[in-house]
Amino acid sequence: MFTRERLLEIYQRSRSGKFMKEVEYDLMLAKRVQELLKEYDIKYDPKNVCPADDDMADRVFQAGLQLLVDVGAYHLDTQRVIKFTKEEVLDCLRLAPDTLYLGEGKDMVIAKHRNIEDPNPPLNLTGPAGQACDEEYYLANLTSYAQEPYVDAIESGATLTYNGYDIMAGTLMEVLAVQRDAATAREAVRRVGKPGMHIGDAATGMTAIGKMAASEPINGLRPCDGRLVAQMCELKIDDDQLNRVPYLLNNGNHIINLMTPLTGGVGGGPDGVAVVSVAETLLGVVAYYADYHYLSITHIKRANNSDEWGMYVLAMAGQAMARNSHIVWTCDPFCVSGPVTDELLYEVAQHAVISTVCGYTQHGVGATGGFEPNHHTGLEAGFQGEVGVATANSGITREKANEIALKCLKKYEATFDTPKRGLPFQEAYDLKTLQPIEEWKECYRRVKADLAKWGLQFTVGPWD
Amino acid sequence: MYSNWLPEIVRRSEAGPYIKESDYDMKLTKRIPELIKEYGLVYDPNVLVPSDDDLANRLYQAGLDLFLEMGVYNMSTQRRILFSRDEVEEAVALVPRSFTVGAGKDSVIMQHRGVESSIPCVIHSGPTGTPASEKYHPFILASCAQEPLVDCLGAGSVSTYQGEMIIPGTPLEILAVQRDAAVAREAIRKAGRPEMHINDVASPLTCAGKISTYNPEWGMRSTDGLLISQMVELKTDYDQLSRVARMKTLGMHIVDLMTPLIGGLGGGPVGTVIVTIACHLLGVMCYQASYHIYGHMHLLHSTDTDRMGLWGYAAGGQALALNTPIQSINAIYTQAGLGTEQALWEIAAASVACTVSGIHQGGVGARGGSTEDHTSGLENRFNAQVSHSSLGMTREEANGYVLEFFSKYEETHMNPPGGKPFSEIYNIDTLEPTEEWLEKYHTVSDAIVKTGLDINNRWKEVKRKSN
Repeated sequence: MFTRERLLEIYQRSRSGKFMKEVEYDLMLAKRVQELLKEYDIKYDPKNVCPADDDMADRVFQAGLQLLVDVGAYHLDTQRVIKFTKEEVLDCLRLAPDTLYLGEGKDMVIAKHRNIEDPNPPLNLTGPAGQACDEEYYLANLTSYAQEPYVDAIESGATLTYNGYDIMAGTLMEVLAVQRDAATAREAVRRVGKPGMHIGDAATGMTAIGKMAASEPINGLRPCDGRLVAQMCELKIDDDQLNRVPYLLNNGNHIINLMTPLTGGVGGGPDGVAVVSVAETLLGVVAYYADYHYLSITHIKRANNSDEWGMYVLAMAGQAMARNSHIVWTCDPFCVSGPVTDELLYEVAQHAVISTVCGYTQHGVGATGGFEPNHHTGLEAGFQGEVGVATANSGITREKANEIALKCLKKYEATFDTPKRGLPFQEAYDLKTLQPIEEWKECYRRVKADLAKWGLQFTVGPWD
Repeated sequence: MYSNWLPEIVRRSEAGPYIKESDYDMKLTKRIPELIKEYGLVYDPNVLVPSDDDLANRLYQAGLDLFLEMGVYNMSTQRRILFSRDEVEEAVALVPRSFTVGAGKDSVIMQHRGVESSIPCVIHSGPTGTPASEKYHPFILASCAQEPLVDCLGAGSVSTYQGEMIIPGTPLEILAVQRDAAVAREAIRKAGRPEMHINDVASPLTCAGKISTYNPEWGMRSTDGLLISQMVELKTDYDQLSRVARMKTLGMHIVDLMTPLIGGLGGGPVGTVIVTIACHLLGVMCYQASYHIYGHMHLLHSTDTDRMGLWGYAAGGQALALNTPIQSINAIYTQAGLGTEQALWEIAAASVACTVSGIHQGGVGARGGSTEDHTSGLENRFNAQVSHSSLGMTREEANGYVLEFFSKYEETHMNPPGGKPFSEIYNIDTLEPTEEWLEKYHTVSDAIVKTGLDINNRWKEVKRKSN
């Protein structure tokens, strides 16, 4: 469909598209989303956060596609709108991969497009989801993820300091830190005997320079690994993000389209944000050549997605893409609670259940919404993978997923205003044995027992 | 002694004395004449290759003083990065006297060359500061890489990508630089020298552009190099410094590019040599460079083959060669275009001045690098022949040759013949120089032989002994 090289065309449109102030674009998008909700009759029901309505899923997809075609993508550097035709978007979608080979050698995993209520269990491509970790605990923390039996890939998380100095983006400190963190991720997977495990990103890198600096075929990130290319809220891109694309394409890396649509933001409520999420996914297909997608729905105030709104967006956007495309995409639970609390595991569980039945591959976990450094561990990430597998193996339907998710919600919704942030990694784990403390294991067993009562069939897990 | 300098440089960048850029420039401009007076430094336009060790040593001390007093200006923070004398002396002492560039059978050893050294210059080539067109870039690089006397290749720069002007910091820059790195790799592969050292890809202007050229399969490798630039005079920024962190980890050769301007902030040739020496120390302290590009240039005419430029090469080269293990390569910017006799005379003068003064050969920028496609392999062959033939020459002898070569073009130097671009002086199919270009080359070569410097044969003896 694109007669010239697609990147070159996008570049040209970013220079010649319609000039518009950012606030005008936001207003245009907000208005159009509301119109599309009416046109396509998309309605949110808080009692049904995981609707079993194929027709509505299709309408959400069509609305998302129409939104991207109507408003285009906003280029922050040039303040111009990059427009695409419907045919162009669908043609790029046709070319997007449905099967990915992540990692290498014996540790390679094959990620495939998943359908609604797909009996094939989802992979779990996890990690600290970009949350900050002290230099001191970084290797141990990543190793705690890599060693989990229900973890198929890690991403390298983020540190805030290098040799004790603050890392400023765009300085050599960022480059030094990213290189160290990529090598630390490599060391973590090596230590657990999985040296070819896929590493999804080096999240310390905030700039294109930082992301590129993670590449190194022996000690850093390899072509079989990935790197995030992010969108800014909503449907916004810039040259720093686009610069990563030709670099990653030529190096053969997996490109991961990171989206953080805000519930309560420009997209409005959950129905509008579901439409925006579809549009952003399609933008990642067209502009970023994404191999897979990473939907990180974020509540505008609490930075979580474990409320009804987040559940609905997850369910509807997932079903829309599952039914109308063949892409591989992931999502992460952003939670208000922290490690060594039952609440965190209920938040993770509802997300794993809904995402598994709605066609996603697992990604996560953002404990404490990223507010507390070091408050993330391998246990909750492995637990997400375990719940996802149990969900698929138990034949959970969307109706049943809705029921389980709402039961989970009851366990933690009262803490939204006074979240239990739990313990940091260095207190939640024995740093010598790299095992969770007994209290954390007990949380795991309690929540798992509840989920089993509600219909999930587990096999023996790591911390039973 | 610091074992990990980079975080310390950031710390000093953030905590060093704040100063406006114009105030820094004024301070530097004021201090240089004082140093010239203090050290009794004098430029003699009739002696282009001085034979005065004491002058060379005093120039070095003045450059060291300037560096210590001014520090390095970080444009990102508007602060001065200051170093103590002990720190600089320690770092200079740790500079390696020799190292390998390239790999396997195509590797060469770059060694510190003293004054009047018998160690052959390493011959770098490629479009030095000269843009190439997308169409002819692959042919230009191949014409350089195939030259047997050429040891290393620079990938040069191309200003468009599929016809679009490349804007730094955009995806077009990334697309273009990756293409150009691959073109350089392909050029040396075609020449049967697949692991020849590539000293830079010059298209990128940003850190992201530079580091995106690294790819061991199709792009730059750890045995290659990339430039990290200084801004005139004695200035750096975080974009440049970030490259250091990346390249050190990859094990690449860092090439410190400086372009001190004669007639600029440093003043005349003496002041600019002092600045150039200080710039080398910046490259040691902040960039941890493997080698440096001694890239001084006339402020108005973009050349270094005038009297001041030639003296600058000789005097500064000797100052560094006598006082440090630092290695530099030149960048010969001729006024004349390619396909002309004058360009070759300009190259010959600079080549001799640099060879006896400890500097390696870095390549040629014809027409001051101002005109697209003014690069070919033949002038690099010529440069190598002159340089190798000058080995073992005394500075007095070299001065005689340089003055004689200079006399061939002095009158027309600033009103030079424009010459012809690559496509008109090379047969694109055979990748051989045209008869016209070869004739000019033979004419000047034979004329040089008549002066007593047998550039047609002496290089053979040098290569026989060094290979």
